[in-house]
Amino acid sequence: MGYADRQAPDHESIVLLIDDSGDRTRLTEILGDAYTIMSGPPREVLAQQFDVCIVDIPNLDRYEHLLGGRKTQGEPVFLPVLAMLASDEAPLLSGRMGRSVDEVIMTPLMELTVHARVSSLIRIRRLSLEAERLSRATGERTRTHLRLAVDAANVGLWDWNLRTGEVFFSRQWKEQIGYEDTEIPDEYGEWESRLHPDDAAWVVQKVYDFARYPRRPIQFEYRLRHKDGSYRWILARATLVLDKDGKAVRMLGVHLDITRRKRSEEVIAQERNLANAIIDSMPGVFYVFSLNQRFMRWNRNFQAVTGYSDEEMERVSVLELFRGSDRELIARRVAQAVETGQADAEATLMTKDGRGIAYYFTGRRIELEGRICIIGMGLDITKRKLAEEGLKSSLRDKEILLQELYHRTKNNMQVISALLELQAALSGSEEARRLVADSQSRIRAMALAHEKLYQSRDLSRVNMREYLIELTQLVAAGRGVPADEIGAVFDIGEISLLIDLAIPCGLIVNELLSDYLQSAVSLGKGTRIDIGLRREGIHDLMLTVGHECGDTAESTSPTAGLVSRIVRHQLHGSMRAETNGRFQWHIGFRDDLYSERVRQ
Amino acid sequence: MRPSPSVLIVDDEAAIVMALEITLEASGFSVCGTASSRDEAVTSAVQCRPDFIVMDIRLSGASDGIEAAKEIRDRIGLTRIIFVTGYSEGEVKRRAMEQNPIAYVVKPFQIAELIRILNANRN
Repeated sequence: MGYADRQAPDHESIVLLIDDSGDRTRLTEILGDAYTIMSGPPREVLAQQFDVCIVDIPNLDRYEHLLGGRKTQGEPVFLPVLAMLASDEAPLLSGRMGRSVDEVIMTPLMELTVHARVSSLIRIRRLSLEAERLSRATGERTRTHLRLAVDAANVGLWDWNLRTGEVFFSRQWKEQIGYEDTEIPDEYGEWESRLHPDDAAWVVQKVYDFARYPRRPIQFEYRLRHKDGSYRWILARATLVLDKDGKAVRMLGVHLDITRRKRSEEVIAQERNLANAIIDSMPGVFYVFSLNQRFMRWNRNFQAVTGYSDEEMERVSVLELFRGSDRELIARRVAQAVETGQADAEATLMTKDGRGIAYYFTGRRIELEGRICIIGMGLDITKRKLAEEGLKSSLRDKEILLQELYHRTKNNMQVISALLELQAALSGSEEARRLVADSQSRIRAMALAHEKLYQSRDLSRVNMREYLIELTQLVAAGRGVPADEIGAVFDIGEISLLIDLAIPCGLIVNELLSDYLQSAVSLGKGTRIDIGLRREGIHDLMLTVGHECGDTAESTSPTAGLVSRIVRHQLHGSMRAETNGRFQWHIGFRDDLYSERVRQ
Repeated sequence: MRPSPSVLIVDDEAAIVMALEITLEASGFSVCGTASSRDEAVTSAVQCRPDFIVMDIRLSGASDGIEAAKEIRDRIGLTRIIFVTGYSEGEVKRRAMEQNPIAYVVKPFQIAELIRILNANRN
């Protein structure tokens, strides 16, 4: 079994034989089963595709330049040349190994050696071919990816040869300003002529300066005129290729159309300008501050009020604008706004020159630039505070006036009472004294109603329960009956009556009790009375005054006549007497006879 | 026979002073003086050293009866004071009660009621 029988045939590999000696037949016999053998006129076959060339020394001498050309032409792919020579021809290879000859095989030919040499060289060539294929494939893919990326990103490329002045604009470069690839020639003037008038001078200067003083890549934004006459915003980035002396020889760059971004920025800027205009036109102070108490934004009015400059506003802390308890209040309200979302406060804002101005402040929690902040505004409430003070002062004056009025009323009643008492004392008549005592009791009943009215604070209604209980005690005291010996039972609901009704009710109770107490005291009897005031309908009330039956006919006494008169004339009500072991007056009346004197 | 308790009457209303004076005298009290202002009240009190002072709170002049009572206490020591006033409550009553009066009587009142208070506080 030969060597060729032991390895798989490889007819795809072509072995070129350039040999005029009898070894060609021998080589064909050795290699023919394993490889495709090609031979023929050297000039012709050397122009064909082959994978390894076996050549004898005479032919090598003759066609070495052709072989060298084929090897160079295929670079970097390895095209192996195997020289076949006799041992005495070895010196002829001097200077050829590694250049035109890659391997040698000695004659007489040995099958194993021939196979080994050819097989090795073909494997090396295959590896070389594969490496080249991979390299080409990778390069192509990379270029494809780059092209796709450039297309997708709509990146325009440009290249300016600073020595020759030649310029290249990519298809995307031209498309960015509305042109087909063929519509604009690759000339420097095509770029410069399309610069926005406001940008032309500084952009050209910048590019020339960059070429003259090379440094790191530059980036700038400018406007280029579009085919439709409008201008497109371009982000340009440029870099330089330098020669060995560090001098710029080429300028390369990319163009990105950032018109949309610029428009968005313009819209945002307009919105910001509008917001600033609104904020600056506010009558109050506007502020945004972070939780470290530093102001982040404020309006002009804030500066006008406080007197701080922009730089000072950046340094001053929120709490520095307040003093004493106001500072503590603001700190608490800020914490409240952070916790609950909003808060407000009235405090005195201290200006740079130490003046204090009353302000009403609001605060809402917001997130700004990734931080929790407080946004709000303050309104000058100096005028309101002054008005409030004026109102309070006016109310105090009215309060004092009212107090004096009541004091005067009661003092005058005291004068009348004293004059009556003086008159009775001077007359020396017991009857006169009794009549004066009756009058004084009536005066006190009226004075007490006024006192209760003043105490009620609503200046319109009298609490009847308090009034009738105190009146009973006063009447009893006037007849010499101590409060704890009256024996009174009260059944009085929570009823408040206008003074117009309270005084008649008080007089009625005064009259009825005075009569009874006078009689009881004169007879030395203990007293038992009951007084009630109940509501029997929305506006219907029932006043009852009862006591033990006396020795006189109460319903026909002079007092009963006065009471009857008050009931009919002032209360427009009705009265009746009941006797059932006890004597009891029932006086019915309505509480809607008068309207409120003082509106609440 | 025990001497009649002396009373100083301080009120700026002449009719009230007169009615009190006559009635108290008739009831066994000795009115040692009358006054209508703080200064008069202090002077009279220092002179007659009364057992009781019936003191109105609103007096003529800048000072009131509470201030007069305080000064009298400071000058002659403890004196039994009855305030008689139209002020039934509030700051005035609070200030008056600081002087520890034996009574605070709200006008209008019956003089007989005042006499009962005086009698109840006689030694």
